[in-house]
Amino acid sequence: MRSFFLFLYQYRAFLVFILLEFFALFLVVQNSNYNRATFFNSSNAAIGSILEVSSNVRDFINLGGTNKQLSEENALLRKQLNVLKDRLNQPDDADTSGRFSFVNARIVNNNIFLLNNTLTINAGKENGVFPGMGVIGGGGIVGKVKRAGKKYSTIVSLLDIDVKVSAEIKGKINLCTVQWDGKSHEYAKVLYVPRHYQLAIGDTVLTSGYNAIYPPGITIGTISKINLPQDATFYDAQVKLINDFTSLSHVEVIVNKDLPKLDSLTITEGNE
Amino acid sequence: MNRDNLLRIATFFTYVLFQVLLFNKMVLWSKGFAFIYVGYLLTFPIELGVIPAMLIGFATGVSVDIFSNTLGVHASASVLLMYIRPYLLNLLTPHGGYPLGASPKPSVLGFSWFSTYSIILILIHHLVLFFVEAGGFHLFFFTIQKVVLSTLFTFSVVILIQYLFARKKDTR
Repeated sequence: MRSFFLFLYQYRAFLVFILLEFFALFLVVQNSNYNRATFFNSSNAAIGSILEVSSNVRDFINLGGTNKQLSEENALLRKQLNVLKDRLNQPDDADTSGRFSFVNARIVNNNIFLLNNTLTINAGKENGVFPGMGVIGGGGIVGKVKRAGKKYSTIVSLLDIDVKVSAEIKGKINLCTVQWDGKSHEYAKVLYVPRHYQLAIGDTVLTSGYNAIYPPGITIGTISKINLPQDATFYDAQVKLINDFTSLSHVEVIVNKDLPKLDSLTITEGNE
Repeated sequence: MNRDNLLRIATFFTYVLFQVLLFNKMVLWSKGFAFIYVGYLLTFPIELGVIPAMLIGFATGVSVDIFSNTLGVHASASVLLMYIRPYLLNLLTPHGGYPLGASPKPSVLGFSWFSTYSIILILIHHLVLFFVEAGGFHLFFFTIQKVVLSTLFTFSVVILIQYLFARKKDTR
């Protein structure tokens, strides 16, 4: 027994090293798990408020660019409003109006150069933001709420190599997938487009209706590069994201009123 | 609590805040990062025990992690850095040994000695950091590019800080 303790004492530095290293790697694995909430992240009130002060300074410097971006988005929305006004007069088979509502928030921290990028916004449970909700802004999609604190929330960015978004190509393909490849914050990959479709550069990529996070028809970007190797089943295509993640400053969190109903439906189906 | 330790704690907060609020936003060609907090870890006194050193490394790494939502990534790299630091210091012992109570700084041991010492440790730190972040070797060449560019960037900033903020009569 004594020699065992002597052994422990002799290699104490190495043992502490192993212990700390394992603890750090445990944190890495635990943090990458979507469902597990940890206390130490940017949705924590203290951390969030420090990041907010720093973003106030940056926002002040960027005011010109932000104004331009907002006015461009206004113009786009006004255009869409006109289209919708026309459509209101026609009967619709499914009542989707009023299914989604929005919570406005400001980005206080935004990573774009990591592989699993996150954003922090200054709205939390107090404002009705809860994990799992979709986030849009700047005319396109931004991400999904990962953790919600009281006043701040952490968003998994679209720029995360593990995130897949259910998408469609306007007027052509009903279902494909958009996923970021970790390289440039301006581009993502479009996956699972079968080769018998005629894909063209400039096609618009939208969110599909096959998910409960984003409303259907929100722009993701436009096809910028197409590659179809002889032996491939699917296109290898690149989409230029409509959002410039470097200058994004305001976002809207989507509240889907049907989400609890949809979730309970999936759970009962799974049990049967 | 003596004056040196108080100064170290103040330096800790300065480094972490500058890291998360300023240098995390400064990225060269979306691949080159400057992790200046490594400079803080590199310049601890040579005689510092390896266990307190690893605990300091862990605390610094976790502080940076919390702000960038990468919990554990910086911590694991910093713990490894602090663990191998004494071995490297041993290997690089100058002729006649280290001055008593010295810290590994360019003002004490010279530019070329400090360059060798810091480049090796920064490279190891960044290798661990970026491969842990990538969660494996599937983005191998992209990650290697990040490691090399970031090592050069971090090294330049660390050297710059050492010369800008070196105290006049800094012999320790």
